[in-house]
Amino acid sequence: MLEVKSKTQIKVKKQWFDKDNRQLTLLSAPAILYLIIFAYLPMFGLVLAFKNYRYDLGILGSEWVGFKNFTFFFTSQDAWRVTRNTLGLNALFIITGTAFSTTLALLMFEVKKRFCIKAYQTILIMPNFISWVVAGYMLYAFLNPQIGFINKTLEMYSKEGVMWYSNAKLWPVILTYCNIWKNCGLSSIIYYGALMAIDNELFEAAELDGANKLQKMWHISIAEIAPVILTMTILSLGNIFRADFGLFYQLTRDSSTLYETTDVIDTYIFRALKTYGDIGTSSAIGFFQSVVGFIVILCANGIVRKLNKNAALF
Amino acid sequence: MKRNYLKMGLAFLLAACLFLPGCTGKDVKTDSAKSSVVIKWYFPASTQADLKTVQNAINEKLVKKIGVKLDMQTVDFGSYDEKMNMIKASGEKYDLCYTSSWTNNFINSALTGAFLPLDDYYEKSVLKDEIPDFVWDDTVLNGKIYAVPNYQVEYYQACLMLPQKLADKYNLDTSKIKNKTDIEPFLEQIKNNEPDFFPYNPVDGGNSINAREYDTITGLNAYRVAKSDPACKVICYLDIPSVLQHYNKMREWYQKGYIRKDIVSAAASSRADNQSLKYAVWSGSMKPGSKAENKITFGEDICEIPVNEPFISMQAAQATLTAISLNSDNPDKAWETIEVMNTDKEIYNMIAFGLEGKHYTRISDDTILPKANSGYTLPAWMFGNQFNAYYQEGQDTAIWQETDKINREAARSNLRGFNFDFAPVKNELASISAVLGEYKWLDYGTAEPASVVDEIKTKLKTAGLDKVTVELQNQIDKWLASKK
Amino acid sequence: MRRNKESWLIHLIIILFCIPCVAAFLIVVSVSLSKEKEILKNGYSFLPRNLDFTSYRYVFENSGQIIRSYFVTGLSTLMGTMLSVLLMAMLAYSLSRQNFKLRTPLSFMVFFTMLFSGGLVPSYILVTQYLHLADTFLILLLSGLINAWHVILLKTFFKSIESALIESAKIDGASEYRILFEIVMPVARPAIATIALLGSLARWNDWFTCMLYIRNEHLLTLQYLLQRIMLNAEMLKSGMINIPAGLEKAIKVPEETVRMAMVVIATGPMLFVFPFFQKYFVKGIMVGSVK
Repeated sequence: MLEVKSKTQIKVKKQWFDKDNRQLTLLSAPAILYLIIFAYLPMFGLVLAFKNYRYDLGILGSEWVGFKNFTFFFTSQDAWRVTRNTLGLNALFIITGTAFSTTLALLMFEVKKRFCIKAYQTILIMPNFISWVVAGYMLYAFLNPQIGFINKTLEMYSKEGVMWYSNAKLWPVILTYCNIWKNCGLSSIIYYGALMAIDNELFEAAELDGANKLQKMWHISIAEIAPVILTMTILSLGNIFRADFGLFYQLTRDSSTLYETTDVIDTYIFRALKTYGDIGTSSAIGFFQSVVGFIVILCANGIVRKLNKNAALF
Repeated sequence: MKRNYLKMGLAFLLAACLFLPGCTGKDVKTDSAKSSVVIKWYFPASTQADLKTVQNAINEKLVKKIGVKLDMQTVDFGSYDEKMNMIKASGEKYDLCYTSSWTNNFINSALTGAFLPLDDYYEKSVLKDEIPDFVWDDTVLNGKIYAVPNYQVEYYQACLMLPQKLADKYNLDTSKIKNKTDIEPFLEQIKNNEPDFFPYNPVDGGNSINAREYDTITGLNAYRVAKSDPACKVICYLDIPSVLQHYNKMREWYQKGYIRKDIVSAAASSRADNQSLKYAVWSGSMKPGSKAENKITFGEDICEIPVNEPFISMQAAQATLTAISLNSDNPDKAWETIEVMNTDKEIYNMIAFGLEGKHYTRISDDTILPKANSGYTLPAWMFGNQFNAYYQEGQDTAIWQETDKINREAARSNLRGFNFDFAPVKNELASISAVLGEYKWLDYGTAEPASVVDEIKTKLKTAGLDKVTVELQNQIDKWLASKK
Repeated sequence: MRRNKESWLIHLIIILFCIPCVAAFLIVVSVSLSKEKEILKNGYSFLPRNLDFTSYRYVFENSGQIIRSYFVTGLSTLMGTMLSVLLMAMLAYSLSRQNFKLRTPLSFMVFFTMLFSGGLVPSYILVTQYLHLADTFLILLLSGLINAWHVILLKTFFKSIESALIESAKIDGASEYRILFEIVMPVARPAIATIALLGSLARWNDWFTCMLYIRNEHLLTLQYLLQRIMLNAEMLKSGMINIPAGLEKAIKVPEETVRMAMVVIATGPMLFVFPFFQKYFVKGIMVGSVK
């Protein structure tokens, strides 16, 4: 179409923004307008990261202090530890999360009975409704050193109970498990939706070629939803410096003995700023998390674009 | 087919959007009679069913008295802090708000320009005499008054609390107990004979361990000041022998089984556990009338054993204050409202307890019985001078006088009137806070203290303890000098 | 035979995943049906020791509020999701079209909002002072209307649709509008359904918008009702010694069992609605040709 139209320069200029483009612009207009108003206008608040905010001076009137708000985090002795925890645990979550949800989706795809699928998927999204506060209570019911389910069961077999909330080494596993529990159901449904969109002809052709189930899974299912998986991964990477506050704060019950492996940037800042808090420092940290997340996504996107053009974000 | 759904959907949406803005629920204020001013007052409380009814009754009287109508705005306790931050940050107009050290932080707000300085009002007001000077001291920052104290009990007297029935069962001689550690034999008895109770709750108990000799500095938990020292030299808490003794003692108690093994994770729900009597002994405070209050809270008689003399710490009155917003359109009327709340018994009791008959029954001239589950339950100490409040049934009618007396006679911190400007060492303070938070467990005895004391000291030093010590002492010295 | 064994294995694995999910919800239901004193003494358990409906009675005492909230939440979820999916599909479709000149800059614009945000304060100022949307039903609809993440997901879905389909429609002279609504959307039904599901879940679970902007009792959402109870309870629990005594009396904090009952009440409906979405997860209808 376009090749035909761009035969002459003049024609190209005239037709550069052709009818199709106008229509597409109109289609995208409402959403973009919304983003401009609700997302971009408030962005001027990012300046708070560089100001000493006073209520009587407002955002515009408060004075600039350069990078002063950033010094708290970067000069603190725990900065390395919490950053390491944040990155490490988030990476673990992304890898295990993706693995489990794709597996679930693929398995679900093989189930034929509609009723079973409905039942399974309804059950799998249940944890998504349970807030971390409530989930924290439940985890406590299991791990309470004195009367928790697990220790009580261990006692029945005359084994010693484990001091769950005092042993930091166990928690990367516990937290990963909880993250999978809460989020994999929903993610698997997304991947399932993607699987649903695969052209049946592809499967039929493979069947004719004599492919078995696993081969079909690998060469068709996974290959076809690869763009979606990669996109989701890139998006998650963007938040690799941000921790799910509820998860880390509520599940650990803010036990100081667990900080070594569970203290992340967000919980650390939250505790530190409880008493001396001000909007400036928390803005600064948020800004920092956004910037590094942005850089990470750009890199990841660049890599992915080389692999699979469809999956790249832009 | 999809097209039809879409078209239907769009039509429905558009239609609905036209109708719905109608039910925004914004209360249209039609009462702007020229003669009365509306004063908007924010405070933390659950939604009260009868708020409007009580408010109207109050306004009837208030309009006649000072030409003011109240617009009372409740915000849930759990969200009050966040909500008020938004309101202050967005410049939303209001007149009065509740502020304190524990929510809608007074010092932060005042120093970042959220509140109106009140010195001019104070000078000409009757409240100057009504509320004792030493209480006003806590509202002064950088030489200006930024809020009105809601006068109530100002001192803190630490005590051990335990169910009376247990005290009776084991014939506990409370007169022999002067220190928290003296309760040890009793704990042993509990451990051996009462499997339904955890013997001792160490949470919040560390605070008063050496409180007889040492004073704390608000917000600076790493430091102490000797009460006997008029020069107020600051000492790192780890350098005080009795602190280390306390940690060792807690360790001992943990190993002996007086402290539950899962205390680290159980600490989060400590207050709730106290109330449901999971512990035999826990820490609290006492004041005239607390015995009756406890009976209601806990459902049975609670024995209180004082372990300290009443003491008024730094900035004690910041527990409950009322401030005027800097952007209030009617600061004069706002001030008058505060005055009324603090002087007019009838109106004050209306805002505190509601309407007679509906929310409480009157027992005598100044004693009432609040009705359970009435549509109006608010704490009296949020709105004005609590000593003007009616007594509640079961409370001794002498308690306001007694409390006031102890208020005026109790020993006071040498640092009252001092406010630490933490701006120069903000980062170090947050780091120090982080270190202290990590070692909370020392109060619970879950591991050997001796091994970590040096570790903490090193970490504190890295966090900048020395810089803060110097800054703190400088500011204290300057303030002391200016007092003379 | 092999087929059956495989089938059983698959079901087994899935069931293994499902067990913790059900277990958690079972606990919630169980606690909501227990006596408060039991819970305080013995903690949680999978089955209530003594079946007790007090907590539900308590919650429904104030049934007026609950019913209103159900209505508000349901309506805002329904309308919000419909509007949201519509606008996002329109945007995502445009971004997926190779011949759209503004594709790259707009994609970037969308993506940028995912990472960078001005924070709560500027948004609050914008909404309350300039748009005057505080305390309105509209803000419940508008909050989170365009979710960059979903847009990008939709775009990816749309991109993987056979271009031949669209090309042939173009040759027949269809406008972009027609292509979107008559071809792409039906074909990408699973994708749309997925996004609609995600959007509904997010809206149904959202309490924060309410906390920030709504004061009017008639507009409170279900989750906020629950959340403020939780927030109050958490605040009390965290043992801040500075709170003047007697606060516990002033805060009506319902007990553990009531809180769990609220979780059940707030969550239940969504679980019944969800199977309705299942209809759209039908294997892709590949229309052989357009028209």
